[in-house]
Amino acid sequence: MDGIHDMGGMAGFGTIDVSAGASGYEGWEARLQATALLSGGMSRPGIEAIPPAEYLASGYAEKWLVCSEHRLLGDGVIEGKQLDRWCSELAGDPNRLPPRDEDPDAVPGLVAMLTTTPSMARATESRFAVGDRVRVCRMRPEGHHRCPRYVRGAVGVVERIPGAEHQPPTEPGGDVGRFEAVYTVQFDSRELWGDQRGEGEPVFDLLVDLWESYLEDP
Amino acid sequence: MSDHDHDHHHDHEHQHGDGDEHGHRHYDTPGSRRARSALEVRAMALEAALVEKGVVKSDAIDAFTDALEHRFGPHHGARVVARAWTDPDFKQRLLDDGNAACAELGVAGVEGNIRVVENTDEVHNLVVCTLCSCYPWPLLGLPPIWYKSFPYRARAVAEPRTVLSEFGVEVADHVRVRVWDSSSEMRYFVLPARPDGTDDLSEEELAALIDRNSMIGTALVTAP
Repeated sequence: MDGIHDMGGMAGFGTIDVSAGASGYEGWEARLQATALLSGGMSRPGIEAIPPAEYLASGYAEKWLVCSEHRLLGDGVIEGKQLDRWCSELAGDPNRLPPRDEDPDAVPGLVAMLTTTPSMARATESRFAVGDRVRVCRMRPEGHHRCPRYVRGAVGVVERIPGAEHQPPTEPGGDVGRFEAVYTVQFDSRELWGDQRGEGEPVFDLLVDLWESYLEDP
Repeated sequence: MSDHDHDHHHDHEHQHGDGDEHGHRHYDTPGSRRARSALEVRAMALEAALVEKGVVKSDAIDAFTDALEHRFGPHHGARVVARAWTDPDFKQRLLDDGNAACAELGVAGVEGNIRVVENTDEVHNLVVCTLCSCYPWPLLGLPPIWYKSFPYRARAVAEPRTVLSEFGVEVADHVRVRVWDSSSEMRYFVLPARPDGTDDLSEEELAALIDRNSMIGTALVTAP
């Protein structure tokens, strides 16, 4: 979906608060992230489905929360009246905590998964080779995808083929898409933004990973 | 016991604004007194409902949170960089196969499928995720707020030198800036340039100089 999350090149957000966040998450936010991922409530398509005005007005953790609530309520995994009851109990008593239910036998497996690096499959078939010039397709995808708007239509060069991956699911809980080569494509900044040297931006390289289906011959 | 548990033994005293990420800075300070925000209450309610339904186990959440907050972090990235600065063979392995080299130091995990890109006298690398907030968790932990912010996501790919100057980093005109937009499952990690005047430092002393931003590309490492 070509949503508000696709921010590359947008103007109007102002300067960067470079001091913001000695660490990105504090306490409950990291715990929310863990809960959202373990429950399957969090997904990129779900985050991207948040309406634009709400997306812009929400903090990072809030988006994870809204996404998870929406998905888990929508799928009937949890109930609205259950959430309401817990909200009122937890807000009303500062000593109240969520209930605990443990399965210690499952923890080592989880930790092993979390501390294992996922590797990308080798690309055994690839339409383009390193050094090839490629053009990013013009497109208007309905579902989730990973092709930023700002590179569409632009011509770049294949810098590397890091491997092959399935295209991501187009909707929350959906199946993965085609398994295909992923290319690291290098663009000259003038191809994307024009010549900005007059504005104090010397020419630079922009590199982005793109699935084979996003690319065509120039 | 997780941080979450001892987070909640504080009095209800004042209210933070919802979504004010800066306002949560004090949460992990022992003895800090703070209120639960409405958002935190909702997050706790979500956990409570999921545990009640048997969907998620409490100790699984504890273990995952512990990994995000403690098992992963920029101290690992700094160890990797310091080793690369002091061991040329390791540096070559790191640039050739980042995952395998990091595994030698016991650094591995989800969101950790990395490619290492090297800053030199001719090249300065900068990492961003314009679409969300992809980040090499095992080496750097969870991303700082600025990395997830709208202006950084919007501008790093279009005006990197202007962005770098906001971080106080001036890149000479002859240096080629290379911006990496993390869009696949590959994560990018910057090997910063070793500063002059550090020949006498040990690997541990070098690691202490290396901060998180230098491994994203928004800072340079400087000699003590």
